[in-house]
Amino acid sequence: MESIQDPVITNRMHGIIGGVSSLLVFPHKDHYKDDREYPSAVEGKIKLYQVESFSWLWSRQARKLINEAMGTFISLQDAVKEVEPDDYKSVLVKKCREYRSMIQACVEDITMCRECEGDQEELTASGQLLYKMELILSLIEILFIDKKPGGMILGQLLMWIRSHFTQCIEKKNEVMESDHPHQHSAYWEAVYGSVLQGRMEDARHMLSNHPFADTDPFLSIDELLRKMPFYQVYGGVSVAEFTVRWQHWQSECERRLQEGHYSTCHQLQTVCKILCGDQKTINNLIDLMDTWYHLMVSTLLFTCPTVKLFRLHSAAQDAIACVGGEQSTTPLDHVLLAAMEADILQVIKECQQVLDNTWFTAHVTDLLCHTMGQTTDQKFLPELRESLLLDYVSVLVSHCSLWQIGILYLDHLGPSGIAMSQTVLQRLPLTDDSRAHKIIQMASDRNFDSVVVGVCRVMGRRALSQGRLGSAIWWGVRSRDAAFTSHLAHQILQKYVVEGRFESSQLLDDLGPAMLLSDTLTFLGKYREFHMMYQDGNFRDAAVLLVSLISSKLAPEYFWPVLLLDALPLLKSEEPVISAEQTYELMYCLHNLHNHASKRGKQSSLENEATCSAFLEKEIDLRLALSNNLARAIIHEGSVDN
Amino acid sequence: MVSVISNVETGHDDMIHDAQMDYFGTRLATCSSDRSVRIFEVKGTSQTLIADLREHEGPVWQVAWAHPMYGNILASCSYDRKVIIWQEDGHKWKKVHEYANHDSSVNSLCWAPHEHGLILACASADGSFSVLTSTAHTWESKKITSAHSVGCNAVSWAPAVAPGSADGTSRSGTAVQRIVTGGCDSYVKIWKFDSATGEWIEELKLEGHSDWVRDVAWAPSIGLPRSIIASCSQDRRVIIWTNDGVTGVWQPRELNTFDDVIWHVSWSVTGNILAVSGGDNKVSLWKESLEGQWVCLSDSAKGQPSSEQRTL
Repeated sequence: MESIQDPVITNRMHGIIGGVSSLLVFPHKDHYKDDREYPSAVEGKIKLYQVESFSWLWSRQARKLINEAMGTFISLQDAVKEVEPDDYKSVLVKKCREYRSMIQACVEDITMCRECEGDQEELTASGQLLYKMELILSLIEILFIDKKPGGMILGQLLMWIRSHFTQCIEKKNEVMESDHPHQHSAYWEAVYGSVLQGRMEDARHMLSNHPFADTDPFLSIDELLRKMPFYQVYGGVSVAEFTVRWQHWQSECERRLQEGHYSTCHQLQTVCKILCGDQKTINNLIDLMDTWYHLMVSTLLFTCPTVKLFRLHSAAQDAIACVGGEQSTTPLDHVLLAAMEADILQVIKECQQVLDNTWFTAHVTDLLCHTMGQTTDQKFLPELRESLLLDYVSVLVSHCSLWQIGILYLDHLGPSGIAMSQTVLQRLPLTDDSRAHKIIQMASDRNFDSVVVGVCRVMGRRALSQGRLGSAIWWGVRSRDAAFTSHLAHQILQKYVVEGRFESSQLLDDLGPAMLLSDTLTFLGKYREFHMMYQDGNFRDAAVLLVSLISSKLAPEYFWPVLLLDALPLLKSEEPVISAEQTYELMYCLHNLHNHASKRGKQSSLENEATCSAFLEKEIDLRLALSNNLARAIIHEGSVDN
Repeated sequence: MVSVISNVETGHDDMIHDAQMDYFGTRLATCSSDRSVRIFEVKGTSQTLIADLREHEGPVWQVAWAHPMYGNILASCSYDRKVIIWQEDGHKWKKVHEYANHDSSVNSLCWAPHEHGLILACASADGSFSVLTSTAHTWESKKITSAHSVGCNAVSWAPAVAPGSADGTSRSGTAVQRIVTGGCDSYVKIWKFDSATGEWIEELKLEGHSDWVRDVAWAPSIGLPRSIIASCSQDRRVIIWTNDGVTGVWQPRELNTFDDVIWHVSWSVTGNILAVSGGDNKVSLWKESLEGQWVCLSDSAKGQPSSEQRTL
């Protein structure tokens, strides 16, 4: 939220949506129907403010995330369509992991950036937020996407805790690198920490470094640590059998504890108590675990390794109670708790409350939507997915270089996506020709004809206002706007009448069949052809074309004098190229022109007058040439026949 | 989170009544009580004044840009009872048409969707609204009198895409033209153009407000069969009218009752966010949630502390 510090705007602020994503805010005065004017006692300049929503998505670090996420999103949509339903899961897990790794990469980027430049506070905050996103996503992967047969989740949860809480590893390394590890102040903490994460090898390694490693208590605990059963999903051991083995093992731990095997070393006693699943002991070590979810997993490891998903949330509640209860929970805790309660909607809602953009929630909901598939009790998911993705896209498209990514997402969002896609494509500023071409390409790929036509019309009109007639015609033709194109063709012809030369002849010559869009344009094209033929010396064909142009009445009237004057050299040529019949046509045309001219009298504009006078001078010449040619042609044709 | 990205010293001598960005967001037009219309070129966060148009003889209430396919065209309406249409020619802005057929202040105007052609509607305090249509050489006008008793305050066009045709192919010639108006009689009225008779007929009268309706805005189409209109009133309420496209009935839903009169409502380009501003000195943004409730996204008010959490 932002407040605008401006005395002029105080108590008078008014805002209107301007552009795709900004708000225009200015000082305003109310008015009634019969407001009499009176000057307001205004001091200071009247300023208008442009306000936009700021998002972390605009930052440099986010850019890569946005691009990569797009790649994964699109490949996910495609894969889901092509792959057999049985293979969905592996695809979804793969995509989930791609998202996770790109978030992790972003965290690393930020860490590196912190050392160089940038707003430290902002970067740290972003880094933490990303870390938390990955934490949530990896839990979602375990609980919803990568569900193992049998519903045994502890193994995965243990991996989850291990990868996100690495203090025990760090401590262990620190301890083991010191000269006398067993004397290091963090030695036993490192041991406890490793045990709590089920890292028995690490614990045993550290313990073997102890000078008393060969004594009974140490050997005994080593054996217990070595023999602890861990459930393997595809290990070939049934749950029942594993449970028996595990209980047998824990009974052994209890027996040894009771028999005082570790009475000489209270730290080893603590270790053994952990192995026995002694809640009090485990709770006391909360400082090594930091969070309730670590506590929960560690507790389950030693109390109920065969825990199933549906029991998870009560275990979570217990753990939360140990760390201070509901009042000390953070929003992150709420998200994780909601996930453990398998309440997808709540997970998304909690995330939405604290993230300033929908990048995360949109992609996660999309992933979950495909995961849930046809399950009927999650009916809200497709709608939620669409809504979040549309939100995400509307942020993207307001950015000058991210709009293309937005359009690509919209292809997968149903009718609303298509509508937004068209709206966005139409509203993109047409800064230059290449931009326009890109937009047209994207629009025609999606069969948005109206967008293509719209863009072409705007470009055509712009070219016209800049005096680039040839370019304007090219756009006009593409926009299939007959009226506009005719108008332009007329402009070109009129210019020719005045200036005697063609502008942008190259563009006109390349028109091809497009010239048929309007009669005037067709005439223009054909007239150009006539010029080409004449220049090539192809007089006979040129003559035929010229006469057909005259007789077909395609030519606008103001152009007839030009055509007739063009005919003059042909009439006077050495060899007769204009036949008798054609000469009659020309004469008829001249006759009409003369009549029209005399009817119009003094109405013509200056330009026409200039042409008229030029024409009148030539008229006599023309009439003479016509008569001569007629005579010549009749004779020629007569002799040929004979 | 919102932040100010730029500010423009408009150079106006008095309060601004309206500011509009053009279609592509490259030009900004402002109008003011100082009777002028000013046009700025916008590049990133900087604005340059390119025209100062002074033809109105009274405060100018609203400005509106036409679709760029017709060229650079701006319309303005004023207390002086006139609507002026301006066009850019080369680099100069010229008045190309003036419509002075109203008997009282012209309060609001709105260009039709470009699919209908170059058409402008304007609403006046004399209780009527007019529709100006550009033909080859001139502007034809049609005045619909007695639209609202006492005065007509706002006008807005329906989007051209017939709701339901999500593919967007324009069915020109068959697209129905509709306008919504709001007036001092506290009604919101929907008008339809009957191409057979060439007349505008009152299609529906929506009752819900208890005082003058100050502004109406028809939401852009978002590919769904339904239509939405927002109206705001002297009664301090904003009402969202929704037509599901099936039953033909407009269901009202009150967005909120505010602390003061609401003057303006405007929709985002993509049609899903509504900006509301009024006498309570706040600009608030509203969006429809999945459950069909309208929730406030953010409001910016002077001196209000931020209450959003940034951390998980």
